[in-house]
Amino acid sequence: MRLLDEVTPAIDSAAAVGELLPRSGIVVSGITKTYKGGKVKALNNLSLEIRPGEALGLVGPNGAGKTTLLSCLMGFLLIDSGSILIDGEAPDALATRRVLGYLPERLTFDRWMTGRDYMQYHHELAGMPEATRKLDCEALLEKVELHPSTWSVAVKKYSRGMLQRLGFAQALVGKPRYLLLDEPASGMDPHGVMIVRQLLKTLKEDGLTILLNSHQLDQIEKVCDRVIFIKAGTVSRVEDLNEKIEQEEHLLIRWLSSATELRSEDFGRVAQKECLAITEINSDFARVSTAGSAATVKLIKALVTANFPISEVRPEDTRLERLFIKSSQEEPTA
Amino acid sequence: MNRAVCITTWREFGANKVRVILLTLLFLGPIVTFTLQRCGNPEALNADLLSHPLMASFFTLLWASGVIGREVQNGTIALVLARPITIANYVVSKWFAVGFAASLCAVEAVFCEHIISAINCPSLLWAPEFLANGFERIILCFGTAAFLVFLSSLVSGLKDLALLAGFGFMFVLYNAFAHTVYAMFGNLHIDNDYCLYFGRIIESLFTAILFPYVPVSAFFSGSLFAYGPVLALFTLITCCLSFSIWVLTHREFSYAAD
Ligand SMILES: Nc1ncnc2c1ncn2[C@@H]1O[C@H](COP(=O)(O)OP(=O)(O)O)[C@@H](O)[C@H]1O
Ligand SMILES: [Mg+2]
Repeated sequence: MRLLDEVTPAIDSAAAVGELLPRSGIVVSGITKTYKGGKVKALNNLSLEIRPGEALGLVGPNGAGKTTLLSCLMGFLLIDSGSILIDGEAPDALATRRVLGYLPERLTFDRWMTGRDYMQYHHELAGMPEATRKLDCEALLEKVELHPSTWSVAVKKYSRGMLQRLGFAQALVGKPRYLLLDEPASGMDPHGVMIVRQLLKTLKEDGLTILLNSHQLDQIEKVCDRVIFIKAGTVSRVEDLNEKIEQEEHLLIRWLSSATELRSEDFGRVAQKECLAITEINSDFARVSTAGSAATVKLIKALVTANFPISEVRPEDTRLERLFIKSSQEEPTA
Repeated sequence: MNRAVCITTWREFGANKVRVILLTLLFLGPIVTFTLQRCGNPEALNADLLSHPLMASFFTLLWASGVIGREVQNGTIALVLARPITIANYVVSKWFAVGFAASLCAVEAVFCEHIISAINCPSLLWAPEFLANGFERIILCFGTAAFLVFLSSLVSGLKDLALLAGFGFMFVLYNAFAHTVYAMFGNLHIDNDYCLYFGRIIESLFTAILFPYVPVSAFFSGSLFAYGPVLALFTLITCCLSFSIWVLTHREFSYAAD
């Protein structure tokens, strides 16, 4: 602990210097990427911008080109046309690689190393000072809640969830400013998923810019400021999650069911005025849709005023889920 | 040169049991043979008795096969190159790691032979033949390592061994072809010097790449013949490393499912 205290001020001042440098975020303009000599078009004239400090979600069906996009940002793939600028520099510039952290979708490790070796190897590759190596690496492993008893175990003996955690810790080595995460919670147990979500929130508060490609829409909804929907290699929709909009809501309402028949009839009578539709009604629960959150509030108020014994009101789907379904139903614009 | 890349290359070798066993055999084989031979003949140091510097090529082959290709196959290379080190730095580090480790093994082997000789016959302690052989091995290791690193950067996994075999096969084919042509000329009583020179050049090119040998004793005695091989060695190392840097710069590392 004492050592850690000594080390922290140095890191803080280094971070402060980093803050002074110009940060223009990631600007992707009109990139096209094809595979197999042009036969497979993975990205098609895609443009997007990631502002410094924001968390951007990347959503799209399988094969939409999300992993390809991240690989292009990392400079692993050579783009056919267009340009990528990260803080004004090309993806393969050394300055860029110093500020990027990456968690690949397909995890690759030097499997014979132990978890700790692997972290220290990347710490050294990142050009971090040797004096703080051990502490830094252990702090990161603790951050992703990889159990200390597994730090000295060979990576080849790790389970999928442990590998995912190690990969995440690796992405954080070298204090990156930008974090590109390709499905960080895939293969993790529910506890791991929660850890990742919490970690993402803290990282965002620490000022990291995050690009999060995830199939877990609730995770994106809780962490991200904006979401980009990708379909067939182009951006099909951009959504600002901080902006509140009135949108149809689907609710599940449950009530205490003592005098059964009476209750469901009562419910119909009270709710009809406030709902757009009652899709299903049962002895002790109903599914309804309302015009928006204001209407939902009104509905609940009306039910309470009518002394209706509601025990639970739950949204049936989230905003992102609705958007996702909507965007996958839309015909792609040519 | 990057310390982390070098050390990881060495440690990875150690983590692979098959390679370690092969290395041990390669190390013990000549020493055992040598000991048996020396026991029968304790007096003279006959250069034929010493194991050939070519041994160094085998050590290098063992250390260098798949040195970059395996990283490509496992996908670990992308995460390394995503760190702030240049591709040139990476390639040179790999080359140095392989060359250094192979030299160490090869020199160690000749050192053991030296000790055995010195036990049998104390006048052979630090005999110049051993020193020359050791130097020749070191040069061979670094030269061969450059070519093997180049082959390894072209492919994934251990396919560089296939490339090397193909290259060797081409050499054999060429030799057979050249000899047929020379024999034909001989039969027809044609004295074509240019054709012969051209044939020699190709042959020395193959040899310089497959067996970058510098006769150290000739070099020490100031013979002009030694400078040719030294020049060839530096050309080989420079060209091979530059090519592999070029190849890796233009190579894609795909993380997407294909
Ligand atoms: N190495 C490759 N060779 C050929 N096609 C590929 C390769 N990698 C990806 N693709 C194709 O590119 C498209 C986008 O893939 P990907 O980026 O993995 O999508 P996502 O991550 O959104 O699921 C897919 O149609 C996929 O088949
Ligand atoms: Mg993907």
